[in-house]
Amino acid sequence: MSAGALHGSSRPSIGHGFRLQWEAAQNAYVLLFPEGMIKLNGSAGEIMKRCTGQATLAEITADLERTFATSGLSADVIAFVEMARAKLWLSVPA
Amino acid sequence: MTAAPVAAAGAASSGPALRPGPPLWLLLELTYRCPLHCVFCYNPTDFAASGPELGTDDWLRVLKEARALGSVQLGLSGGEPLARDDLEPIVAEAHRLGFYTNLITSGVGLNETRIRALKDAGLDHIQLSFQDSTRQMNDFLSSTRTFDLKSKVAALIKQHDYPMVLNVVLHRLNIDHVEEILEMADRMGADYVELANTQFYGWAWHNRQQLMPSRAQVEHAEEVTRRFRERQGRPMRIFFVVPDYFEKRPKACMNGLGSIFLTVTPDGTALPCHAARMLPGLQFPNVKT
Repeated sequence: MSAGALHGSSRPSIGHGFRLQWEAAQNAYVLLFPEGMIKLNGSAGEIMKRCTGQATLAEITADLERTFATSGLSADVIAFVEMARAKLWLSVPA
Repeated sequence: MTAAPVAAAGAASSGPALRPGPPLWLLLELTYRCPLHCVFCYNPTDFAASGPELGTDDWLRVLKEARALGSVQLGLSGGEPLARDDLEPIVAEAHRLGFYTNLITSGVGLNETRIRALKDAGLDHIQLSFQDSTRQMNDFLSSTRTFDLKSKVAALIKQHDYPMVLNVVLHRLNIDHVEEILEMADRMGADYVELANTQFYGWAWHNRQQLMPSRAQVEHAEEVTRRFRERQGRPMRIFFVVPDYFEKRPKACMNGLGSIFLTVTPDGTALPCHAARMLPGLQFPNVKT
C-alpha cells in the first residue's frame, strides 16, 4: 500500500472514500470519511485542495509559492503529502 | 455516565469549554421500526409509546436547518432506516446540501434496486451491523435468521464501491469471538471495523445482567485486537470502543453534551445524546414546535 518515493511528477489526489470540502461554519477545509471528519489547518487545506489528480507535485508547490509569495516550500509539501498518503487521505499513483 | 456532564454544566456554565458548538454530527433516527430484536438495543424500552414518525417534509426541513447550523456528518439510523420508503429522497436532499451521508443499517431490505438508487442519490457510506461471526450466534442475538442475508449485503456494498464499516456490538455473549469477528470482517473486505462495547441504555440497560462482560473478557478482547492489528495485511481500520464500566473514569458523554452532536428521534425530539430521554427532570424540544 505504501508506494515508492514521491517525485515532482507525482499527481496526488484525494484518497478513495474521502471527500474534501470547505466548511464555512468551521472556516476551514475538512476531510470527510465514514463517520469521521478531520478539520484541516490552513496549510493542509491549501495543499489538499490542489491535489486534484491533475496537477503534479511540482506544479502544486509552484502554485503555493506563487499564491503566498514565498519560496522553498518543496520539502514541507512533500512531508505533508507523505504523511497524508500514509493516512490514506491522499493517493499517489506510481 | 450521562449524568456527569449535566451536573458539570450546571456548576460552571461560564467555562469556555462548555459553550455549545455547531452540531457537526447529526443523527436522524428515522424510525423505531426494525426487523431485528437485539437484546442490546439502545432505543428506549417504551418506544412503542413514542409519537408518530416525522413525515418526509419535516425531515427535509431538519436537514436544511441543521446544515445551516454547521452540521456536516449525517447518520441515518433508527430502528432500521430502510423501513422508510422515503430514504432515497432524504439522502438526495442531504447530498445536495453538502452532507457526508452515512447509512447505519442492519442490511435487512438493502437489495440491488435500493442500493443502486441510494448510490444515485449520493449516499457516501454504509455501516452494516453484525451480531457475531457465526450464523448461529448472529441469529440468536438478533432473534432473526439474518446472517446469510447480511453476508450477501456485505458483498453488495463492496460490489457497488461504497466504503464499508462493519459494526459489531460486543457483550458477554460474543466478546470472546473477537478474533473470528475480525477475520470475518477482513474476508468481507471491510474498510473499518467497529468493535463497539455495549452502551448500557434502553434495552441494553434492561438486559445488563446478561450482557455485562467480565474485566478479564474485555482485557482478552483488547489483546486479541492488538495482535490482529499487528499481523493484518490489508488496510482495515479497527476501532475498539472500551465499555464505560471498565474505564478508570467516566468520560464526557458525546464529548460533552451540546458540543458536537445532535440527534433527532423518530417523533422529532431533539436530543444531545441518543439516550438523553432517560435523564430525569429534563425536557427536550421538538423540531415540529
